Parts: sequence; structure tokens; C-alpha cells
Amino acid sequence: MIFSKRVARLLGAASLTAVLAVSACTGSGQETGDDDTAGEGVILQAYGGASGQFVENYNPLSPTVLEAIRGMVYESLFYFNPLQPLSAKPEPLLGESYVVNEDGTVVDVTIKTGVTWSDGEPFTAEDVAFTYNTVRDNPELNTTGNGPAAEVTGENTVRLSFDRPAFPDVPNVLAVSIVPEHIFSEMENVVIDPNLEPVGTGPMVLGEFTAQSYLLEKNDSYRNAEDVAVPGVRYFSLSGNQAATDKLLAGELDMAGIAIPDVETVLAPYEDLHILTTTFQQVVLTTCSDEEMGCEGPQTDPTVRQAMALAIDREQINQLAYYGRGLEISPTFGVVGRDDEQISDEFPPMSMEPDVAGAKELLEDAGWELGSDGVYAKDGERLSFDVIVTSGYTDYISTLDILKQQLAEAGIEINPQQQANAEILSARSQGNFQVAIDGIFGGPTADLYYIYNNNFSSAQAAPVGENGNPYGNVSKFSDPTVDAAIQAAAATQDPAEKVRLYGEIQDVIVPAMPYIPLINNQGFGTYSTANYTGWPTEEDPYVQDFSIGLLLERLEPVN
Amino acid sequence: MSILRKLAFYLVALFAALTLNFAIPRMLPSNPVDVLLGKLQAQGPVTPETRQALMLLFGTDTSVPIWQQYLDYLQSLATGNLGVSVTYFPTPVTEVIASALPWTLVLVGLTTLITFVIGMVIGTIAGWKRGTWVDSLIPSTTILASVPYFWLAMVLVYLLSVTAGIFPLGGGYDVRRTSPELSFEFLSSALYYAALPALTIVISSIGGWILGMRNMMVSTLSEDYVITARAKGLSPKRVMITYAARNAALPSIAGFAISLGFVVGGSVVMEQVFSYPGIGNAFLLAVQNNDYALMQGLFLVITISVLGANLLVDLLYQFIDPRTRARGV
Amino acid sequence: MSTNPEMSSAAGVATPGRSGSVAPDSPLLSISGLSIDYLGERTVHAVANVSLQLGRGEIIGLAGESGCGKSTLAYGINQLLVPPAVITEGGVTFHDRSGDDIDVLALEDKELRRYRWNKVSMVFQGAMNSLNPVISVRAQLNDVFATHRPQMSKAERRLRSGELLELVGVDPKRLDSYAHELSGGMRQRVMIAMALALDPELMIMDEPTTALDVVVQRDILLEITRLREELGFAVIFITHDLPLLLEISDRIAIMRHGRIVEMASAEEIFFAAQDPYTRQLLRSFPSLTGERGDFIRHGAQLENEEVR
Ligand SMILES: Nc1ncnc2c1ncn2[C@@H]1O[C@H](COP(=O)(O)OP(=O)(O)O)[C@@H](O)[C@H]1O
Ligand SMILES: [Mg+2]
Repeated sequence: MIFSKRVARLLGAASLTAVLAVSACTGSGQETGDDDTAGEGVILQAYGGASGQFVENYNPLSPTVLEAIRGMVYESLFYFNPLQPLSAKPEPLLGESYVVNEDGTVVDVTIKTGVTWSDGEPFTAEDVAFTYNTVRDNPELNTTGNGPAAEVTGENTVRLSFDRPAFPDVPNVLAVSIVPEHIFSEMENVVIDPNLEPVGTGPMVLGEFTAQSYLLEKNDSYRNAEDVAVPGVRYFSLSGNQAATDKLLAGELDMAGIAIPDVETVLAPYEDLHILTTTFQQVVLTTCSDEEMGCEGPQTDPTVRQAMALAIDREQINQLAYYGRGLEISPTFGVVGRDDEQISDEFPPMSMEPDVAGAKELLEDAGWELGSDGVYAKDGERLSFDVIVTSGYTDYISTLDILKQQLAEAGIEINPQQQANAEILSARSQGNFQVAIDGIFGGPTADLYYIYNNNFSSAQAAPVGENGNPYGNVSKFSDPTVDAAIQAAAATQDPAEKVRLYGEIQDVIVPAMPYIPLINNQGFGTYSTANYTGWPTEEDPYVQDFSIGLLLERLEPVN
Repeated sequence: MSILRKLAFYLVALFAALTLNFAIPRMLPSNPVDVLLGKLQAQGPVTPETRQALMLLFGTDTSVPIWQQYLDYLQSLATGNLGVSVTYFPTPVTEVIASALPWTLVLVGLTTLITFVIGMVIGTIAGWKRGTWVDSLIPSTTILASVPYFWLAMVLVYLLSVTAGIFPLGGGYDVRRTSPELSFEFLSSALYYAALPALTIVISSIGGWILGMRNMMVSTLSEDYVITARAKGLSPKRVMITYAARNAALPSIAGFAISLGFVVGGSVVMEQVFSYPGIGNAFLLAVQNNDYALMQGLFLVITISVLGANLLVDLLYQFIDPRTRARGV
Repeated sequence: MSTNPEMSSAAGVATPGRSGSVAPDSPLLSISGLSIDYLGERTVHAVANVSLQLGRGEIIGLAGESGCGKSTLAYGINQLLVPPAVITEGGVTFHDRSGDDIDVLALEDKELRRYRWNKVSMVFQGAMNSLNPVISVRAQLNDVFATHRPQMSKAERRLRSGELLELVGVDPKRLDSYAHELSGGMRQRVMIAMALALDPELMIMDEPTTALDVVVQRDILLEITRLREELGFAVIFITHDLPLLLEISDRIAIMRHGRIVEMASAEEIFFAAQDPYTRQLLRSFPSLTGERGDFIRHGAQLENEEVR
């Protein structure tokens, strides 16, 4: 589980707001007094954003597996941590090392020896090969579309062969949970089998399950069992963010992924509670930018997009909608600081201050004239458009309210339209919108390739009216230089070459600006040092995801 | 004959409902995969390959022609296969429903029945004693009924759970101390957790029954057969029950049939307020996640329960109202 | 069935002379100065100071335009009135067969219920609505026996119920029918049978034939007069149809605005009405020709429809 504000909000969105208000004052109280304890040590209490009933699904190859089964019970070969810079090496888990060949089509992996499954069977290279071949043979599980064929090449080595160059797919492919062949090969249909008796290699095994909570217990046969002081982790399903926040503040959760507005103020009185930034949600206005793809409206004009970017008072948005926790945003969508090596020097972060005069000048130079209604117009077309936003996403909604006023000063009119999530998805998929407020998220590593490929390549864009990927290139931006550079970046491991290619891309996308940058919002996880210390910190973000077993090796009991 | 005709009518109604059930979710914007992907996007860009894999997994492949989907749908219904829930993937819809249904059926079903019975009894007495102090209490119950359920439930939760701590805040039972099984511990915990939701339902819906029955009683009491019964020297109890109430109850029983039918589907708000693990909750999640299979399964259960309740009352009506019996004989 | 021979002999004997207010030889019911109000914003004096004596086996007709208080008076005799009706003055005394005088208005609960139907039964206007639609004829008859004759066995009840239907000319098979399965005439016959169930001394009939068509109406009237002759009960027959009363009543009371304006034998009313209102009432029925009783007898020849 990744604890970001967005994810927690998405998962928690089920609950009615007013219900939350009541559970708010209550959530705790009722359930205090019976902390789980097992043998020695305190069981970690965790909340990952689940609402509704848990359903038993311990199949780590399934997209709806219970949270933390991947990571705590099952392990992958390597762990790629997106909080680390591009140059960082992945953490070996079941793998020892790997080598990618010149053209990125073959990965040779050496695995750890002496590892056993929790049922006592030895972990072997056959298990690894079986796992990858299973994924490849079942299109339903092949989420990269580029699943490799696997073959055991030695006692401890496996060769993964790809159909096409796979440099960018490697982190995702090597993050696949490895499953035991002796159990999964017996399954009639591995795609939907819930794997009710999970046998893994990770630090935890399944304890008990109920629809409201389940318990993972320490795996005594874990290879680093002596480093694990935590006797178990209990995961809860709660009615929503407010109930979870109450539980956290009542000292009943050790780790949680909850969207808490103004989190620093809320947590300030609690000295045990801390946060770790885990994700970067780059908040943008996504424009339907390309007329040739069928987009209509003034936002198809790059000058208009540039003018808007200039007129925005980012500091005000940060203070009012994000409680001052937002970071400067780069028009290249690299995270300022972490990704500096990938960001062209030509493009400093977007100014936090507005430049209304500059925006107006830009518009007037392009032939827009201020109308008597205070809104620019050109050829009879007013500089006015709708911005769609999912109802209930309060930070987005208040951002748009602020933007409406800010842009009005520059003679630009926006009309926020709240819609249900499903409607928004449909509009984004079909291109039936002018502007949407949105978040751009990074990939499995800090490599900017993922953002560029996903949001800017024409291969990811469908013409208006066709059923496209609502999480892909929704702006429908397309540019041959950018497409070529993205393709080239996918085919190289050389960091310097990548940076050069990214510079080419940035030279095009920054002036075109199909996504107008607003603010870089930090998603976070919350943890408590009341029972355990040794959590990942800003200085040492050794895991980004609290469900990675490595975390448990580092936690030390307070008593 | 009439029973056969009635059954035929219900079959046609069921078939129409099943067809709508197929069509409606497909008219909703978006699809389950995109909703699920929204939750995954923070873990990395959602590639078309991921989307395709999930479409395959969830069987939402739109390349299959719609008539084929319809035939497949009917065929799997016939075999009792309602598909796999996306929300609770890979749990079959039948299992999701089977685990949620008892909660709703027992809590809402029993409460609806209890509310109806109590409402009818009070309404009968109030109508019988019209103009007395008993009767003058009736308007206050309708005030309760006019309070929005949501608001009423929140106030009761605040007063009785949060402030007084008499009842738990929500949930189906104490997850920490017991788990679903046939034990005294579990049953008593479930009962304790059901008490407040039940109370809110009773309070919010009893006024309607009382008022309806009371008014019917008053008009029935001036019917000649009631006066005749009194003139016959029958005991007041006999007059009240066999002559007045049995006739006055007829319209309410039809209303009861309708509310029984909605037991299964009509508890969304209650289950949200109390985080109750029933059908209403499942329904909300299904809609939020565009979970066609689960939605269809739930619609099916709701349809069947509405039709079933109507059929039941139709048959019951033949017992209690001989006039309806006559036509077919 | 037990018919009091003494009663039979008294049947049909009307006191001669202008004697509407004169007590019959053998009184069954005495109403004295009865006043009934409906309380409300405008209190209605529905019955005002009515005095009346009814002889054993006598048929008294009570006529008057609708709204004059006939039903209210009838209900008062049986204490069937409910609020807002109140009896403000007067008394009702029932002179029982056994010689006891029953102060009807003083009866309460059990005693009142024992008095009802045992002594005084009633047949109401709405033949359609006097039967409970949801239970069978048999069940409604059984209710009467179960309440008043608890010692009767099931078989006795069944036998008696059959007898009663036969007595009013209805096929005993109809016992298992429901009201909606019977024609209007049959329903009223069933009601009459039910009224006879306990062999009462008085039967109050409140417009029993108003809702029926003329032919059926005639049949029912014939039936009532026949039964009265056989069984000897007294009848208070209420209607706004004066000609009809003239044919069947021994004495007739004319009511107006809650008061009895004239009370006399049928002949006297017909040939020598004193009160202007009575005369006006008579004039409003233009077809009042032929001999008294002609309507019934003539009609009897025509009778063929009603299947028994
Ligand atoms: N429940 C009642 N409340 C008030 N007034 C009533 C009520 N019932 C009857 N009345 C009035 O009492 C008067 C006598 O009514 P009723 O005895 O039914 O007349 P009738 O039987 O001669 O047609 C009428 O003026 C009628 O309006
Ligand atoms: Mg009347």
C-alpha cells in the first residue's frame, strides 16, 4: 500500500461526508483498551485506506489482493524506491543482482540462496521462472503487456527474455511478487484463485481474518527473522478518513495512509505522530489541447495556456487549498530537488507569484481583445471554458474556486463543473471536456520517462470520441520530436543519454504546455513512534511503501 | 387458473426486470476498470497494457457484441452464476450477496415487520379510541416520520452512542471479540450492534403505519357492518379486531408488501450511517466502482424480493380479503 | 322455534281511536321524553323530547324526511350512539317477557351487550354494507351464537344457522358465502335471518329496503310481515317511504326535526291526517291509490324472480 493523500481519498470516498462528521467525534473511545499483544512485543496497527468489507484474496498476482500481502507475505526480486533519485540502485529482496543486455531484451537475474517458503519448501529459480511464465501466459495478469518469458539458466539464475526492448519495464517486471510453484501450479485458474492459504517468503504469514480486520503474524522462518522485532501487523477497514484520523489521534494506529487536511497543524499536538512524504501529485489543469485530435475551445491555443500559467497565483493556491504544504512545480514535471539532474537548466520552477500584466500582454500580442464584460475575445470567441472536477475532491474544488478569481483578473473566464467520478472518467476517456483539474503521478522509479511516455506521447492519446485510456495522454498532445525522444529514451540505460533526450522533450512541452502546472502536492504516510522507532524519514527514505517487508527489519520496539 | 395467470404475470415482470438489469449498468458512464485504475494510478502511470489486462480480468471487454453479452448474461443467470465482483475481486457475486444479505434481511426485515405490527396495533387502538388522549398522541409520531431519516439517525447516534455510550457507533458486531458463527457471544454482539439501527428505522417509519391505520379505522368504524356488530352485542375486542381492524388493515397490508420488497434495497442510508455490513453498503460500493456484476446481482436480488413480496401479499390477500378471491373461482 | 303464543295473539292489534300516544295494553318498549344532541360547534338536536310506547308484536312505522332524526332515535334505543352524540334527557324502558323492566340507558358493558340482539336486533339500511366483507355468513352468525349462546354446540349452531336461512328463503348452502357473492336482496334476507337468530322481542329496521329495487323490496316486506305473524316480534320500521308504511304498519309515527308530530294508526294517518306536515308528506306520493295492502298482495302475484 502506498499512503498518498489521493489514494486514501479515493478509497475513502465511499463514505458520506456527514457520517464522517459524527464518527469524527467518536471513532475512538469505543475500541480502546484492548491492544493486541502477542507473546512479546506490540502488534503494529495499520490502516491503508480500506473501507467496506475485506474479502479474502491472498493471490499476489491479482490486482485486488489484500493490502500488504504483496510485500509482507510475498516478496519480489527487487524493490525499486521512487523516493530515491534516478541514480540509486534497487534494494535486492529475493534477487541478488541482475544484468540487462545491450538492447534491453534480456535480463539475467541471480537469486538468493537458502531462502525457504513459509511451509518449509525451498525457494528456487524454478519458482521465479514459473511466476514470470504464469504472468506471460495469462493476459489478465500481464499488466506491463511486455511480460518476459523466463527460463532457468543455472541453480541460482533465471533469464527473462522480452519480446521488445524493456528498459522502462524492468522496474515493474522485477517488482512482481514471486509465488511458489508447488502451490500455484496446482490452481485450476490462477487468475481468480484467492489463494486462501498463502505461503510466502516475506517476514509475515497470515494470522486471522475477519471482514473488518486481519492479522499478519511474524514468519519465524523468514531469512532475517532475527531482525524482525514486530510480532504481527493488524490491518483495519474503517468507515472513512475521519474515523481513521480519530483512531490515529487516539494512539490506536502505528501506521496509516489517511488524507488529513492541514496535517501538520492537526498532528502538531501529538509528539509521537510523524509524516513521511511518499508520493508527488503534480496538480495541473489538463487541457484538451490538440485541435487536430478533435479538441475545441480557446484552450487549444498554446498562447492561452501560457497566459493562464502566468496569471496563476500559486502561493495563494498553496496556502488556501493545500495548507502551505505544496512544493514548487517544474514545467518539466520533474520533482524539484529529487529530479534536478533530469531537469533542463533552461526551465526554472514555475513562479509562485502571478504575473497578470505579462499574461494580458501575451494575449493581446496574439490578437485577443478585452471585451466590455472583462473577458478577452478573439474572432467572436470569448476566452471562456468549462473545467471539470470530480465532486467530493475538496482540494481540487477549492483550487478551482481560487483559480476562477485569479484568472478573471487576467480576463480569462473558467466555469468549474462538478461531476461524479464515473462521468469524469468517461469524459477523460472520450475527450469530451475542455479543461480538467488533475494530478500527474510519477512512475516506479524517479525516471521522468514514465511521466513523458504516459502523458505526452501520441501513442497514449486517442482522438476525441474514441474510448481512450483516461489515465494516459488525456491532453491529446502530439509532437514527432517528443515521440522520437521518448522512443529513444526507452532504448537506453545510459543516464547521460536519457537526460539529453529529456532536454529535447522539455524544449517542446514547456512552451506547448498542454498541462498547466499548478502546485506539487506531497502525499504522505503517517506513523507513530509510540511503540516503535526506526521509521523511514526524509533523510533516509529507505522504503516509500509501508507494506514492504524491509520496514519491519528496521523497526525497533520502544520498550 | 388465477394463480397460474398471476405466476405468468410475475414471470413476465421478472424477465423485463432482468433485461433492464442488463441494460442499466451499461448505460452508466465509464467502467469498473477505469474506476479501479484510479486507485492504482498513484503507484505509477497506468499503461494501456495494464488497462487491457484488467479489462480481460474483469470481463469488461467491450469488443464482444452487445447481443452476445446479453445471451451470455441470460445463460449465466440460468446457471446461477452471477459473475465475479470487481469490488471484491475475485469473489463471486453470489458470495458477496450471500454474506451481506443476512445482515440486511434480519435487521431491516425484522425491523420492518416489527414496525408494521406495532404500528398497526397502535393505529387500531388510536382509531378505536378516537378523540381520546391516546388518539391525540398520534400527530407526534408523524412529526418523527417527517424528520429525514439521515438526520434522525445522526442525532440518535450522537446522543445514544457518542454522548451516552449506550450503543456502539457502527458495524455489525464487535470485530475484536467475536466472529460470525452460531455462538451466544456472536449473536448477542450482533443483536447489540443492531439495536440502534433498528430503533432508528422503527422511529422513522412507524408514524406512517400508525396514521394510515388510525384513519382507516376511523372510517371503517362508521361502516354499517361495524355498527351491526356492535348491535349484535359482540365484545368490543371482537368488534375492534374481526370487524373493524381486519377491514381497515387491507390498504396497509398492500403498503407493507411494498415496503417488504424494499427491505433489501432500501437500506443504503442506514447502512452507511452505521457502517452496517449489508446489501445497502454493497450496493453503494458497487455503484462507486462501476461493478456491473455486483450491481446486477444486487438488482436481481432486489427485483426478486420486490416481486416475491408482491406475490406473497397477492396470495395472502386472497386469504384476508375474499373479494379478491372471487374473480378466478 | 319457540314462539310465544300470547304474543302471536297480540300481533297486529292496533289500539283504536286517535290513540297514537296512548299506551298499548301490553307494552314492550316505552320511550319517554328522549332527547339526543350531536355536540359540536353547532349542536344538533337530532331527537327532541320523543315519547313512544310500543306494544308486543306491534309494527310501528317511523316516517319522516331524511335527516329528521329517525336513525338517531333507533340507535338511542340500543345505546349504539357514539360521540359526539349524547342523550340529554329521557329514558328507554324495555318490558321483558319475564316481566322485568329493563332501564336500557342504564345498562353498561356486559349487561348492555346481553341486551343487544337478545332483546332488540337491528337491520340497517345498507344491506350491502351490513355484512362484514371479509368473513363468511356462517362466521357472522357464529359470532352471534358464540357471544350470546356459548352453551350451544357446534352442531346445534350449524343446524340453527341453516334453519334461519331457510326461514328467510335463502339456500343454507349460502352460509359459506361472503357478502360480495350475494345479491342485494339475499344480503338483506341474511341480515334478517341474523336478526332473528336469538328470537328477539323487537326488531328495529332502519330503512331495510331503501337500497333495493322495487321487486326485491316487495319480497322482503312480505317476508317481514310473514315472519312477524309467525314469530310475533315487534318491529320498529323506519323509512322515508310513507306509502310503504301505510301498508304494513299498525301505527305510524311521523317525525320532523327530531320531534314526533303525529302518531296514529295507519288508517287514521291515511284518511284523516291531522298534522299539516303529515298531509304534505302524503301529497308528495301521488300514486297513493288502491286499498291498503294492495301493493304487497298484488306484488305477491307477480313474484317469480328471486331464486330461493
Ligand atoms: N355524527 C353526527 N354528528 C353530527 N350530526 C349528526 C351526526 N349524525 C347525524 N347527525 C345529524 O343529526 C340529524 C339526524 O340524523 P339521522 O338520525 O341520521 O337522520 P335520519 O336517519 O332521519 O335521516 C341530522 O340533521 C344529521 O345531520
Ligand atoms: Mg337514517
